[in-house]
Amino acid sequence: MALLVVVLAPGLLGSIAGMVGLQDETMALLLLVGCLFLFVLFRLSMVVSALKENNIALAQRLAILEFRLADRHEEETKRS
Amino acid sequence: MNGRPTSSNVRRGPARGDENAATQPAPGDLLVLIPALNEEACIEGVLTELWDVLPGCDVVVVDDCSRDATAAVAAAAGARVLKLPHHLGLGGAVQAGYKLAFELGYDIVIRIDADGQHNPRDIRLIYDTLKETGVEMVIGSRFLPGSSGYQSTFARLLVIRFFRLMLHPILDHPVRDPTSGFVGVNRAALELFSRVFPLEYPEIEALVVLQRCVFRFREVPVAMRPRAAGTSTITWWKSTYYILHVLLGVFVNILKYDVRRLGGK
Repeated sequence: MALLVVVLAPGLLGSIAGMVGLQDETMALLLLVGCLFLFVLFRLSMVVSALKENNIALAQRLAILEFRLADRHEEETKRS
Repeated sequence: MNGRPTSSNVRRGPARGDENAATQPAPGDLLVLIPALNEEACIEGVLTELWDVLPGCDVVVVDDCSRDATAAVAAAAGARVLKLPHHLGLGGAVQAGYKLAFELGYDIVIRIDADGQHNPRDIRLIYDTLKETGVEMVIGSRFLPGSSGYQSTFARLLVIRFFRLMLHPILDHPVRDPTSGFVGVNRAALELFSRVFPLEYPEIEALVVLQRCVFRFREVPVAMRPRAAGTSTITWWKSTYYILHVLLGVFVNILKYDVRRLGGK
């Protein structure tokens, strides 16, 4: 997507290079790619953390339900 | 799902005489929680000693997916076992126990280690302190006047001292043994920890969460012992990771709660 933007607007890289004080447009491209990678990594890290928390909550819920189910089963066995 | 504990919810340990019956916690009031990972060598002794001191006390062993026969040994000894489907780490295991205790309606939950380091005789002191003072959490401390027995290795004592110094200004209250796993909580803290609980190395972060929620804690002197059998899983690498992880966790929690407070939530 970022590449598409750069291809469609070739002057954009020059503008970015000028804004951050870089003389070489290639360096601006590298900077852009680096920022993009950092953003993707940060986003993925947030997603993984959320999934991990959900996974732990699910595992805890499963264990508790199994515990209570075993109790219910034991109770019914005693009654019958 | 909520309800008072019944005899079938949590199997009580064998009653070993009722000479202390008048001073025992009421049934359904106290739950002793024992998170365990690969502790088959110790768990039976811990349970036996616990029921010698508190006959018929409700106990749940949280088995954090042990590779050995911890769950089977605990069940054979008479404890109920909450078996986690996969390894969650100490925080996840303790929180699972807290969630269960909260759903079953317990008023007080006291957590002890499965390696025999905590003396079950001190449970009574933690229980009484929770009841009498109304604080939300009571920590069994190795470093208070009146504490006795094994303290820790030199390296761990240094780590504890570091966290003690760091936590004093954060908690606005001195804490002598912030890494102690001998902890009792009342129902208010149980409700909080059922929702929010640090998932790795929970003791220090739990204190910060508690303090930021304007809950109170108190320390009482307890006797600590070397582990009864087996070896600790804590290595130098894990200790370093522990310090970094806890530091980060403490500051994230401070930011989280203080930003919420400033935002008026």
